[in-house]
Amino acid sequence: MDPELTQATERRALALFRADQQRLHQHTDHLFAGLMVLQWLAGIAAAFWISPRAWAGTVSWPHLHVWAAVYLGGTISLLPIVLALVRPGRLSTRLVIAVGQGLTSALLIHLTGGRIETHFHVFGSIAFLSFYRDWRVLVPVTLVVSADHLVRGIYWPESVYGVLSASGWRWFEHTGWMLFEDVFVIASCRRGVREMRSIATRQAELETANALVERGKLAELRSRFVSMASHEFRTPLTTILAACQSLVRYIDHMTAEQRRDRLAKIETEVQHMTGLLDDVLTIGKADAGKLDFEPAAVDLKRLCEEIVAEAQTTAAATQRLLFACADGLAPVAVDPKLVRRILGNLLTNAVKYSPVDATVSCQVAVQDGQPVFEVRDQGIGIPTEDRARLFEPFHRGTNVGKIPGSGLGLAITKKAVEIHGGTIAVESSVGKGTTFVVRLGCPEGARG
Amino acid sequence: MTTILVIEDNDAIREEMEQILGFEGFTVLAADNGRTGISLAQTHRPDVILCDIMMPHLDGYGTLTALRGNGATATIPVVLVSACREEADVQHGLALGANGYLTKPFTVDGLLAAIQEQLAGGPAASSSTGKAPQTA
Amino acid sequence: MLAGAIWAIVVTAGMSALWAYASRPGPGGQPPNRWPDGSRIARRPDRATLVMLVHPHCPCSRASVGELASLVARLQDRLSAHVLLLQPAGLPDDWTQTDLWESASAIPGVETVHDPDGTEARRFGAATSGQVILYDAAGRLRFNGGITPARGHSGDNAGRDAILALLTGSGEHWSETAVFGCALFDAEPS
Repeated sequence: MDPELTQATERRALALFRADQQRLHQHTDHLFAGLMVLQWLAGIAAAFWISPRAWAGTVSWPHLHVWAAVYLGGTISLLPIVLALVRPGRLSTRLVIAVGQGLTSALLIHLTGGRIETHFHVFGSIAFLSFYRDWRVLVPVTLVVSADHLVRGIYWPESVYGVLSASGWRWFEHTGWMLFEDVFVIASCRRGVREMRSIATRQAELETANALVERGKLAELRSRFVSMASHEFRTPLTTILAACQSLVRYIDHMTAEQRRDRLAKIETEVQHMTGLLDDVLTIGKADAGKLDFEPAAVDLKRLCEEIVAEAQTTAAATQRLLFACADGLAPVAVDPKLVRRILGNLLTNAVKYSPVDATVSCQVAVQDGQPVFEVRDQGIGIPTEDRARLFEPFHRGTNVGKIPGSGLGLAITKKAVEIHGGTIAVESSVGKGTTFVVRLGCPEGARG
Repeated sequence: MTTILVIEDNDAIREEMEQILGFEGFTVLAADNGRTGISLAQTHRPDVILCDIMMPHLDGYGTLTALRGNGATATIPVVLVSACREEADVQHGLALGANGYLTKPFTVDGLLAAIQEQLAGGPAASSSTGKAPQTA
Repeated sequence: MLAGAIWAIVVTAGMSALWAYASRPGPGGQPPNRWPDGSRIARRPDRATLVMLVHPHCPCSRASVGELASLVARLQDRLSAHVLLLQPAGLPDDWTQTDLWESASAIPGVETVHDPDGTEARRFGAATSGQVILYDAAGRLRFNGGITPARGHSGDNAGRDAILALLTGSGEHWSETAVFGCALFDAEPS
């Protein structure tokens, strides 16, 4: 793989990884917002349960802890929740959440009177914070919980006469246990991040491989198209060259009619090639996405009448072209040039592939703001095995026999329909006839 | 009189070839598809067969194989005429038993030379390509 | 950023206030240096006697009672422990019979009694719920104070360590700690 492609793949892998990370962080932020609310409520419930009132003799009043649970607990939860909802995914948000979680632990431990079981909340918090797979969030929570113990010991030491207090070592042990858990959680976070990166890399590589395959397929299609197109040109060129050389060598041996005949052939073939050239250019443009699309408000009925009249000139004298279109159609926006190609092509095909005394009918309507064309013929029909490749460039039906055609008409028609955001459908029966139904979308410059 | 069989589905090209060869004094048989060509070859035993490759139903390669498989026509020299100039296609044709290969568009000189080469009992055939088309 | 700083300050202030409250000792009392006469409680001459005064509704005293339980379990025969629950005049028995009463009664080797009108509490000069007063076998005051590290908090504390040291022979003659609990009596004398 060339270095540019490798670089592009690495960039894509990084982008995918960042996106995954961001999603994870945001999701976890939202989880914590919910948890904070639950913890706040739990704290209030605990305060009410354990220490609802304080007493002096027979007089009582609501215990400070209740106020603390409501207001201090609320304040502790407030900033983390706000940030989680307003700025999810940012580093500052999850650091604040970690601090909040540590403070919540400290508060809950305090409200429950230092109960051993409440201390487990600390370890649960550290484990929950590991969801972020970002080791940095463990720093604030560990610091806050340790600081709570340490600061209390410094500023509000137990005043005592005569006995050494042993509570200093407790702090050390608590912090030690937290650091112990931190080590494992940090290792787990880093492993998690590595996994996410490897998943992202694998996905980027897969995308690159697929793109390469697509590119290869496209290149192959294009080269096939080119070789088929050049092949198509050689045939009229052969006729022209042979006719010209004939004229040069045998003109004295030819009758006037024979000469005229040859010149006419040359002319016909040149025209044929010119048409072929136009078609090839159109398909090329459409493939490159450069086909002009200029929708305009048109009188659909008049436009179609013109197209039908043009098609009538290519038809045999005994063929009949029926046109049905209601008056007062709802206004639509279509590109008249492309509609000419679409409808014109379908009509000339219908005429070309029908017997000399057949009827071709064309119906135009507007349904739900979408133009609908239906072209029905009684011609040779399209065999089932050709259906799948019907709209491929240069594909011709296996039953076309001598009837000339470049095989590009339907390919161009389909592209023109797609640019309108529309659909084309076909029903056919060999020997009986074919019906094409084209539905054009509502193009606000939109492609299909 | 030397008889040439032309098997070509494109009407304009076939007619031109018929008329050119007629002017040159050959007797010309023409078929617009492989099967007709094979039966004409069997009944009339032409001296050289000129066969197009891209034809519907039975293409040039199939026609060639059928000719080579039939005792009556197995030894008639066949020149494949085609727009394909790829080396692979030429080799494929020669491997199936073609004696010569003419690419389109061909010049009249090229066409006549290819026929003469076969009538002269031709060397191991190599592809003869038409000259570049000149503007008429 | 600014929001974060304000939040940090408010929260720190709140936690500090909470800790300050938890570390604020209750009103101190001054027990007599020798076992008071007239006390309902029987003092045994062969071992130390411990008296704990408790306000039946004080939430902080749950921790004190818990600490007492662990003390008694450690010291067993060296200690005779009594818990007195305040019962102000005019209030029915079930005002006093709270979960504190249940926990205290459940401690094996501890005698749990009512203290009608706070007479005994006054006799022992106790003012705060959870106050522990220890007299040695000879009836001399050896310890006065609380056996919790802070209001309502269980865990290692100086008071408990002091008593243990005293009775296992390694301690000082006399020590005193702060008591953390509700006041036993109303602001005005009841």
